[in-house]
Amino acid sequence: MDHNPISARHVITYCREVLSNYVNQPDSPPSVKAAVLSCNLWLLMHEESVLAEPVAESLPVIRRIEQQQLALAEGLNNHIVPQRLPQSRAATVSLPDEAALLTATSPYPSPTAINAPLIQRSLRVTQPKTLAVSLPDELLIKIMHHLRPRRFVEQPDGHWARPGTPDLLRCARVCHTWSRAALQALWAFPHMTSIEMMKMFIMSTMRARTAIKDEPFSQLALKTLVIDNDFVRSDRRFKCRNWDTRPPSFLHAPLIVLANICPNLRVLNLSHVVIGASTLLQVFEACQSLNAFSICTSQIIGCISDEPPALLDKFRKRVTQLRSLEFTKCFGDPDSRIDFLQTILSSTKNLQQLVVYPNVIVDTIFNNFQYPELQILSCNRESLSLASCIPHAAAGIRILEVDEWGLAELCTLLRHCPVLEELRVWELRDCESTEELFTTLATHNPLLSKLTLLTECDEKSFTSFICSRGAGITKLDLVDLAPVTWITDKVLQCVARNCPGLKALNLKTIEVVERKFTREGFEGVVRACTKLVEVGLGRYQPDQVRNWEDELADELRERGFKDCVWQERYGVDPTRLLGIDMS
Amino acid sequence: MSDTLVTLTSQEGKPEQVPRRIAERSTLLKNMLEDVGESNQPIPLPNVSHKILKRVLEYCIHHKDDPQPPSDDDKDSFDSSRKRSDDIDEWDQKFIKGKEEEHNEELFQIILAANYLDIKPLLDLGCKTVANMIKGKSPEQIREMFNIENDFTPEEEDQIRRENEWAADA
Repeated sequence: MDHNPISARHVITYCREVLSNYVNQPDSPPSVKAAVLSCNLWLLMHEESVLAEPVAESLPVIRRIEQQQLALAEGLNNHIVPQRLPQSRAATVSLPDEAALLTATSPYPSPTAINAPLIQRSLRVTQPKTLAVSLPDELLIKIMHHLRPRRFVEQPDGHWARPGTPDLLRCARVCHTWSRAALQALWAFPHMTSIEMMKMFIMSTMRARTAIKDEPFSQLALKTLVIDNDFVRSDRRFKCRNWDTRPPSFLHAPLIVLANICPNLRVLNLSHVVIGASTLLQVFEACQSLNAFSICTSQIIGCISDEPPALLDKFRKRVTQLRSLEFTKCFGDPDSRIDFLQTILSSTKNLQQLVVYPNVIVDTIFNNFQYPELQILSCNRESLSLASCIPHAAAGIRILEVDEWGLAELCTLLRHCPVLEELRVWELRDCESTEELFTTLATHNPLLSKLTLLTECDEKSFTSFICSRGAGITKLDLVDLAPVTWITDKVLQCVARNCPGLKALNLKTIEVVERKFTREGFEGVVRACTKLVEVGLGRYQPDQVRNWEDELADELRERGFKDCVWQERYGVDPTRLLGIDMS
Repeated sequence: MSDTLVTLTSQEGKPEQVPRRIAERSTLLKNMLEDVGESNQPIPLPNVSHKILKRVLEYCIHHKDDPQPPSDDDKDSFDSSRKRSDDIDEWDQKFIKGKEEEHNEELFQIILAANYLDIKPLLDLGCKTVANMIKGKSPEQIREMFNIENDFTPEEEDQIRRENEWAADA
């Protein structure tokens, strides 16, 4: 075998490269620089090689040198200078085995490889910088965001919990580059599902602040904080447990501490919590940038208007900047709820999103309803009084979602929403015929493109609407309810003929209802609407119907078909509306 | 006009001709082609090797009829399903898998190319794939998989673990 020679020059070059790695470290001691200088000096003085040995035979020599280097590094660390050398550098000094030594080729030749090809190939003192650590930060962060948990998962004991973020934490321990990206993704959306987790978070934050003197936190400002107390699922109704044993002060201290730690908090979501009115006031006082707030399935203790006037005034000033407010399904003393909602609504004027399901009939709180910037409104029958207030105040509504409203109130509202793009109707009361609804939509809502009708409709008025306005429709969510089933092949043929831009079609049928449409009607829509990429046939469809999707799969896949994932009822993402970059 | 051929020149200077419709899957190329109008001039892509360019074009050809993804500020895109990392379709999975022996480096090169050429679905596919590879792995396994050097001291690693304890499994 033709061995390449190895010279003392190469060995010194090797030493110099190893030491050069330490020189670049911020805490590199001066002696390392001196050692590099010595190597350079030696190399200048010895142009010719003085040692010539075959590669394989020189391995023990090289290993000895490696050990000496480790000893040198250790010596530097422990004795020569008290400063700490990065230990991980020492760990990377490794030699390939003999076979690899003769065959290894680095995919990343360095500029010096031309002069010292053997050393470069055989004595790779540090691993090449792989693309995994050379990616720009924004791409690494993008990858990390895919590791954030998205959904609640049912636990074996019946609990529903969002999984933790151990993958992100593991990525944060891979290397410095990955750590930056993983921590950014991790801290962008801290989600706490228990009081224990919350306490741990506070302690971690406090420790980190002490250790790093706040600097990274200017970049890692918390944007969203979700506090979700324990809850169990029982018969599809969420029940909170042990609430009666937990006083409102339960959350007070940790929440106030958190609010003070995170003065840049912009989004705060509270759900399944018991919270005192005074706690809420203090949170708003501490977090001056808060512009999205939600409180769901929670109990507010005490009336906010009973708090000291000075604190209340500050609260009123703070909430003027709120752009998103969600107040849904809260319970406990109705006066407390109405008082809270009234105080907050009477103070804020810049809302862009309002989701209000107060769980109590509210009549007067919307009297001064003036939200010129409102774009998303979601409410139920308890907020019906909105219907008479909005016409004068909310011409900018793009998305409207109503539940259990009467047909007349809905139509009144629709007439004053000229830029409405999406309508979701969950249940319509006092509705003999949907003719008025569709006539109103056709006349007053020219931009409507998405329609969710989870209520009874009649075939005639719907097809008439589709014939006149189908060209602009991109999404249809429809349901067949007993006793009248109205989604027939005729309806689907009408959709196929008139909705060329349809991208999503979801047809639900409840279990007890006999379906009126056939595969022919369904397939007709799939073939005619070439932009259709999302279809759903509902979870209660018999297998025979569900198989239609599979049978048409090839056609759909070619268009980038995605299985339909039902949008959560409150699935409107406020971050998009508010222009908050969560990625 | 969409049937005309466009010449793309890779990092190595090798030309690759593709129908304009395919090239326009890349927002960068689409904008460039719109800016220059009718022209036979080759478009240099100095950041993309020929091998990766061919892979990217393979993806674009397969997805040539897909609807264009909504832009970030598209008000239509409230659908959170887009963010899921487990919805990669079969062809995409096979495509991104590539050759086993050079999978990882090529994967990152594809991500870089997709980012440079602004092909959002391909970028998402690459990022999701990397994320799926990471899931459930220990830091050491991740380092080994991607040939990443551990530049942490044990103290630093421990500090990260302690400061982010709240994010571990509850």
